[in-house]
Amino acid sequence: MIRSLSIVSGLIIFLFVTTHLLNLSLGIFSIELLEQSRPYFFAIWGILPFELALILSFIIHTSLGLRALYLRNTLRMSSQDRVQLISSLLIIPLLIPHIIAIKMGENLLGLEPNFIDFLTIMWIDLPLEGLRQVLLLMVVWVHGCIGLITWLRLKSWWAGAAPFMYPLAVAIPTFALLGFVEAGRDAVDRYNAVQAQGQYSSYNYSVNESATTYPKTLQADSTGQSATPKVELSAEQMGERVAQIESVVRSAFIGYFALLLLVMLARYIRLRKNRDWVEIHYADGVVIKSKIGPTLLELSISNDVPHANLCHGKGRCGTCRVRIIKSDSTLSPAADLELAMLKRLNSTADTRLACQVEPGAGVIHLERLLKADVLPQDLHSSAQEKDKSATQSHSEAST
Amino acid sequence: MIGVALKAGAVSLLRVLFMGILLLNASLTMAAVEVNQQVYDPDANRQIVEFKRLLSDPNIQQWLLQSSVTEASENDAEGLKDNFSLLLTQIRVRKEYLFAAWEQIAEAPELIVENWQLQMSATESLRAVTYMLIFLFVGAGLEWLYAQYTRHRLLGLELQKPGTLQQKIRSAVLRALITLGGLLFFACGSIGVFLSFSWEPLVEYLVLEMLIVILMVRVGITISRFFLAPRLKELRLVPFSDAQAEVVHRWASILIFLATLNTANTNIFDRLLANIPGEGLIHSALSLSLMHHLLLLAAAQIAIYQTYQVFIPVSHSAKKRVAGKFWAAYLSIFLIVIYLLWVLDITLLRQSLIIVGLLIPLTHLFRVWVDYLFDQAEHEFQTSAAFIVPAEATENAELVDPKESLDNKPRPYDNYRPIARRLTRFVLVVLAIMSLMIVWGFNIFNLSSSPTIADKLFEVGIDVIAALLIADLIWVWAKTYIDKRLADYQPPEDGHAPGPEARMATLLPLLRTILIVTLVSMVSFSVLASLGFNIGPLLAGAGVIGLAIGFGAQTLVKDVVSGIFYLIDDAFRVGEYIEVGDLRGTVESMSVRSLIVRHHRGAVHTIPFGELKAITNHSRDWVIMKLEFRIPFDTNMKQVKKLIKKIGAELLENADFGHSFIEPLKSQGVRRMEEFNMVLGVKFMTRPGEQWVIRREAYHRIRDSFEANGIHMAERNVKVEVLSDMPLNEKIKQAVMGAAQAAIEQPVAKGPVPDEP
Repeated sequence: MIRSLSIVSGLIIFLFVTTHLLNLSLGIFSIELLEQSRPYFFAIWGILPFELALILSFIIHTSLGLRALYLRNTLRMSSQDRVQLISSLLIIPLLIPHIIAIKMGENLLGLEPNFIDFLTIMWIDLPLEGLRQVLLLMVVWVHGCIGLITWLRLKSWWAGAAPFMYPLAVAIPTFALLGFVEAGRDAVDRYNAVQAQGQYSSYNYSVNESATTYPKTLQADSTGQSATPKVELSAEQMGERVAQIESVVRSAFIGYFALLLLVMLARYIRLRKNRDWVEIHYADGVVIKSKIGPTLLELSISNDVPHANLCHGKGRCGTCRVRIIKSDSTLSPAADLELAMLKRLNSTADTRLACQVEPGAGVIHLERLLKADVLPQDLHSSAQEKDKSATQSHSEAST
Repeated sequence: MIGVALKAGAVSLLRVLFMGILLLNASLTMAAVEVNQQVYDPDANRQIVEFKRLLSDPNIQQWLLQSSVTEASENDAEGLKDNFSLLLTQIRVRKEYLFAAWEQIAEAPELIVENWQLQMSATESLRAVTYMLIFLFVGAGLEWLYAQYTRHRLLGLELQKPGTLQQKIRSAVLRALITLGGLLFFACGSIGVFLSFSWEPLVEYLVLEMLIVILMVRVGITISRFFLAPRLKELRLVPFSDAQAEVVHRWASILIFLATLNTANTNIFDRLLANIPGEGLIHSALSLSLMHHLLLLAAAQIAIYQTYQVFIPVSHSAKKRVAGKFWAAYLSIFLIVIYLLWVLDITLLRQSLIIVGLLIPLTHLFRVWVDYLFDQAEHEFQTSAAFIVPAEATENAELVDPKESLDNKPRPYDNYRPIARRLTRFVLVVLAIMSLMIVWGFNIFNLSSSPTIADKLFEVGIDVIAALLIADLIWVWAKTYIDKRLADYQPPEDGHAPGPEARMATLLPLLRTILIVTLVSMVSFSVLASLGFNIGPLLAGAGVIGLAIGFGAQTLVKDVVSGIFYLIDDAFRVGEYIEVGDLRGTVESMSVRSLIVRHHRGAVHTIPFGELKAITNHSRDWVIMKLEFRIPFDTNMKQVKKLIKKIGAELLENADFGHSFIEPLKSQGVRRMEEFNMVLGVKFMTRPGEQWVIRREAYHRIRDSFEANGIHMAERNVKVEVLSDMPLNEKIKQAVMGAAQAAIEQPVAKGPVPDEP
């Protein structure tokens, strides 16, 4: 339930990001095309149920991420998991200014968000914002792709489709970034041209002025997308509201970091009791000794013992399964998820999923049933021969 | 193990890249000087701009200053004194700069920042960062894409345990190639995007420097990983433990990073401050690079110390510990000296010192490494051949002491080990010479047109060293081969004939002497030629003498050469019975020129090898002896066959020669019918040389056996038929016998007399 919730919410967000980036790619051609095509790309997300789903997904995905962080037994992990975790932690602080600026700008300043304004701000007035935006794009895309691929690689059709999907995963952000740069340079050129004409001699770095004046100058030679404020505001009201936005951004930051700190604190309290040692003897002679707390899979990985884990310890693939030969430690009992997976694989009674078992103190003798370099397609071919899969995997592992 | 010895080498391995960077850095100065010389070509407009830029370069100003100081003495021959005073002036100028730099060290960062802002607004800087981020992201994306298609192969390489050294090297190389392929993709992606943006000149320079830093660091780390494989013991090409490999790899990465960053920083600061007039800024750049290089030096010293710490505790032999200490101290002092020379700006000396100082530990390191690889390969060979050895080894296990049995192990690669050592040394020395030439500003391909004494000396030196190195390589190879053959040769035991190796044992030292004489004369000719002597007459003289000797000794040469070929054919050995034309006898001895054969009657024949044509060797493998007996027509052949078979069995049992039989004595039945009798054929097969004794015994026994069984050998007799019934009186009998006498006495054709030694 929780797993599928996390996947569905992630997918919705990913879909939104993809449409956004595809839109941005059009900036390669011209800034007008970029602006004109915006309503079509955002059409779906304007409809209430979809908008609601997006917001809901965002909240759910974030809180599930924090929950996963809380439940994580060790912070030593494979490099891909590390990238995934760090990127997820980075997304929120990078996103806060963007999302608040858009939403609050719409509500408080009466500005309808459009690319021309934003590009002007990001390339001329506040280049730091541009940098942040580029970083955000990269982090979000990397996070999304890792999640998506980890999920998809277990599907039987993925092995065939993957070679065509991978280039897409690189092409979309590349074109979006190029579009961002091209459109931004276009905006800078136009701004310089206007400056040269001497129409606007004064120039300062405040947000409000740039938000109100420069769009108009661009508007003069663009095709007339209406960006005039719905509500006329005086300069001091404007300044007040901008300050208000800034304070909201600040408090959002503080709130986020406080939440994060809280989660880490809770996790520390949860793991504090793990003081005992467990010793694992693998069938091929490797012996490791480690503090208890993590799962068998995490112990393997953190001790550089190769261990197959196609779904990265989510209990979805069953590739990490081990046969417990002998154990005087307390193994955490199998949950429904694990039982279902083991049943599907026709496993024997002494087989467990390494990603689900948290061993207590003691000595465990076990055997990894799959080779560490197993491929998803191998998984499907063996799954089709279900009747002999259990015995087969035993013999595979032993050879 | 060789761990500690290698350890020092490992440290120097770290140094290589780092020093390479320093060298690169320094060579920029040289390049600047060279460019300045090219400026005198009047045709290029661009060069004038370049000239102006160069004039503002601090290094050039310094150079010009020195030139003006020595201008007075330029017309005279460059004496040692002048050079020395030039050096002193240079140091004095540098000292002033250093003092100025020292005073400004606090303000330097501020000046740099100020100058930065002067040339580039904050907006532009941020945009530059954005651009950089984007093209790095695209590069990384392409690399990721590449990794998706190659990852499984890489994982397979890392998980599979290579059995042999060859597989190990293959896996390591493949792994490095796959990683470098990813790097190539990264470079393509990032450089592609980099090119698609338009940049401010300063930004472009900066970004390019950063890109170079990233690529250099990654290539360096890949190379380090190729050798050390810190996480994969199976793919490691050096005899390090996990911890050692980890430490060395970490420090190698850190130093590579620091060194490249350092170079980039220095270049950027120089560039930033290049266009600003005023002494102060130049000195602040200098003070910053001083600090940077000091930092790098400190990091390198820590690296040496840490590496030393990891390697020393595990080495058991005191000798190795001393060696480790020595190399650590050597490198550490070496680096300090290099830094001091850099501070004093004595470029030429510093660069030469770097090259020579690196050559020594590198030669040592590669020597140890080659030895290690050979040890591995040998060990592998021995363990794979182990299943053959035991049969022999268990037999005399008690008799042979362990050391000796170790020496008895097969060493298939021993011939190549010294060659590999020499070859690596050869390559290293040649590389060092090349870089020295570049550093000293000699044009490698244009030496003859530069007539100064120094150039001439250099040229001669290069020629001599190259000739010596090549001769050395050939000599070592041949010597190893010949010595191995000689060492493997075991002199024959008493009473046994020596094998063909015996003659090789006399020939090989001869060959060795010929080779060394040839090599020495060739090298001396080449040295003389490069010194400028005209070696034409020498060669002609040698040619004439060679011709004369060649004609005179034609047959001698023919004898020696054909002797070698008979030897290769293995046509005869000492102790064998041979037949050459009309001559036959046992081979008594062989000299370089001739063969001495003793006839079985005592005569000694000396036959030059050149005279030998077809040789019949009677002593090879086996001999068939055939015997004939004449028996009367009424003989019972079945009985004969039985008797012969019995005798054959008896002979086989004989203690003296029974073992020499290859096939026993057996009857071949009636071979032919003659006038008065049948001819019984009997044959046997023995080892060469044993047939005569056996034949004697066989004749003896067969005769006895026939006699005992009532079989008589056929005798010539004449039957006279008298066609009359009347009894013959004595007189008539006499007459009849007289008439038959003629038939009896008819001479029988003489058969060949079998020869016998």
